[in-house]
Amino acid sequence: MAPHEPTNSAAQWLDEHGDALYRYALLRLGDHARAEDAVQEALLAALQAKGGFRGESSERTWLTGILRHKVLDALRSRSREARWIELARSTAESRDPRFSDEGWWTEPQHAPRSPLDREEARRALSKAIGELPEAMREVFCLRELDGVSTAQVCELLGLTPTNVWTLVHRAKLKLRTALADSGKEGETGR
Amino acid sequence: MKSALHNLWHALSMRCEEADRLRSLPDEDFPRLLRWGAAFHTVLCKSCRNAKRQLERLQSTLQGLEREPGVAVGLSPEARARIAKSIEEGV
Ligand SMILES: [Zn+2]
Repeated sequence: MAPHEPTNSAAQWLDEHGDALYRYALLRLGDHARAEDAVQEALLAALQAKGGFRGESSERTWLTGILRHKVLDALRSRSREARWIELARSTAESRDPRFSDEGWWTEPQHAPRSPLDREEARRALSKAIGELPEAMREVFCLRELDGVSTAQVCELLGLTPTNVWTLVHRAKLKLRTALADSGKEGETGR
Repeated sequence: MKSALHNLWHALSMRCEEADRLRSLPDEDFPRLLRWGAAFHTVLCKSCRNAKRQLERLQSTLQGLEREPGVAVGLSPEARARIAKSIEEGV
């Protein structure tokens, strides 16, 4: 065995990292079947590229890197037409009711309440990301979770920078609201 | 000169909606003058200061999400079995 080859077999990877890899894919793809396929393809690719593991990162990180490419392939494979229809729907929502026609807040904004239970916050956020419209979730995850530049997102998904900005900003507004609501629920429960 | 003054005026007279959008988007995508305009507005506007704190909470929760997703979701036994079989067959 080469010195830096992973010691685990693919079956062990599935055992030890399968759930984490699946969650990574599900958050970004929003669909159980597509997420499962991405994990399967990633593990098969990892099996073939075993020698590529250099031991500089953890096995989980290495596998996640491979999965990331599979997720990007899956995102790319969705037809541009489907994405544009979805995009039109996501951005055709009437103006954000948080702002007046003149661009001022319609209601005063409050600072976040007492420290939110971290576990509860993460749960609320995962759920809210899963509920974002597809195009919005794709763009948001690429930009905000994976740190892909706006230019690369545009190239990858065939969008304009304005599309990307609109989707990211709207996603953040929705997620901020979801976090604030989960905080409120937590407070009334105490 | 006229256009520079116009841009400066635009940055200094920014409304909450534009300031909020600029705060939540990547800095590198926008000219420095606009970012300064948003920061200037935020210093003066209480609601925007609070909105900024909401955004900071979102960012910090997002960072934690990658480490510990907060959801106990995993592969279903069927999916696990299917993937295990494909690994075994190497396809
Ligand atoms: Zn404001």
